[in-house]
Amino acid sequence: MGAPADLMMEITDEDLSPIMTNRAQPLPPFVIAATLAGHLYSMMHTAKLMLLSASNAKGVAARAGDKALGFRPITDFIAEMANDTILYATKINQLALTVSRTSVTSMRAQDGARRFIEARQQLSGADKTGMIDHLVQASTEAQSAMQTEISDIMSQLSLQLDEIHQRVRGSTIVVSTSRTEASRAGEFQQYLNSIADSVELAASELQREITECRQLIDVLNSN
Amino acid sequence: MKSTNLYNKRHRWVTFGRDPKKVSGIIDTNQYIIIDGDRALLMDPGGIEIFSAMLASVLRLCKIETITDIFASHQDPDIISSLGLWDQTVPSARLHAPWLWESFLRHFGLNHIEYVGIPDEGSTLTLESVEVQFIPAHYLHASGNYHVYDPEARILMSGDVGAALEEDGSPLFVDDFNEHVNKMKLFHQRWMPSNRAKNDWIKRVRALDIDIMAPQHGRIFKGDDVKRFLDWFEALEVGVAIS
Repeated sequence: MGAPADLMMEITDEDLSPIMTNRAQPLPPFVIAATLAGHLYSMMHTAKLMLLSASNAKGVAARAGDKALGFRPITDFIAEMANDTILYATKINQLALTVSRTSVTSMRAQDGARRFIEARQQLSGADKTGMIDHLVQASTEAQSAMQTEISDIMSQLSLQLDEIHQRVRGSTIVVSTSRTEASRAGEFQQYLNSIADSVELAASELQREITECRQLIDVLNSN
Repeated sequence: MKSTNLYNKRHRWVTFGRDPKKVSGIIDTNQYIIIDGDRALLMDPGGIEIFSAMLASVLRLCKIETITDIFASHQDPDIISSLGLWDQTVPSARLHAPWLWESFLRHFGLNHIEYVGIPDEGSTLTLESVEVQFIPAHYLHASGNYHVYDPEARILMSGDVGAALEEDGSPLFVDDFNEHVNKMKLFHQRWMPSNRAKNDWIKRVRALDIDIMAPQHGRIFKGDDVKRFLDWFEALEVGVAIS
């Protein structure tokens, strides 16, 4: 039996920071890309919790009636933000997995080129080494094409992460407005405040994940 | 890596091994090639770690495009983990390997080479003119396993059967059978799981005309040592990890 899904996707700072900073050898790009995909999976999970908060907020707002009139559009905004985050995180997750897969293939091509070069060094005579030259060239060209593909995907990935970031930044205003509206909601104030707290917590978590993702993207881009 | 001719008439058998530059800690392996005009069959080409030395050794004998066929007796890493690299080297080649292991062997990276699954009862392959037989050797030791027999050269490439565990750089041929037994006993008792499969294989192989029996590890048997081996193996109890 496999581990529960939540345990499988959970990648914490403790897991990541040491491998980024304390390793004698830099991590291969496919590991970084897979780690990035893990962060994005985590972001989707957080955004789903945010969506749940929005759903709860709608229920409370409905029960509160006129006392929570100002809260209703806020719940719509939270839901929209959560849905957008899920959408973009899903897209980026797929892109990150593609980068990881392509990086693995690229490394295999690189390994192939290295071993072809080793074989060439063991041969003497241009007629023999010439047989290997085209293998080295083919591997190098394949690797170069894959690097271009990775670079293109990385650009898309950065743009889509920016989209998420913009929405998460908007959450600061939403939380602040939610608290103002909660203060006018009488006996529902406590519920609405707790919803604002959970949105604030989720937004903070998303912000932290975005920062981690940006660091990983920087590392990938520097490779 | 040393290359040694086993047969050189109308076609040629060469074995590769005893590489002094081999990475330590990995089992030494014997690789084989049959070169028949413009076609060659590379047999059990080995693991990733010996690929560069193998490629260089092969190219000393023939052109890349001559390698039209590859054979893998079974799925072990020391047999064929270099497959992904051969796939880049000879993309038009065909891999002849047990049908049973196709979806497993593809994990080594098979994007271009065509997989030709050998059926349980075995099959044949004709190179330019020579025809070789893929002889069933199931459960010796893998559950889908074949050896290569060349009736013209009277050579049986016997995979792990006849293998020995000994120091790197040992002689290529068995010189004292009785002394060599000590180097084979544990390997056969432990790696070979089935007495029934063993006896079935011995019966099949006794019907063949064999001058050379060439295993994938250890030393090669010539002449009367082939029969000595079959007699010894027949008397040996295998599958000893469970008593």
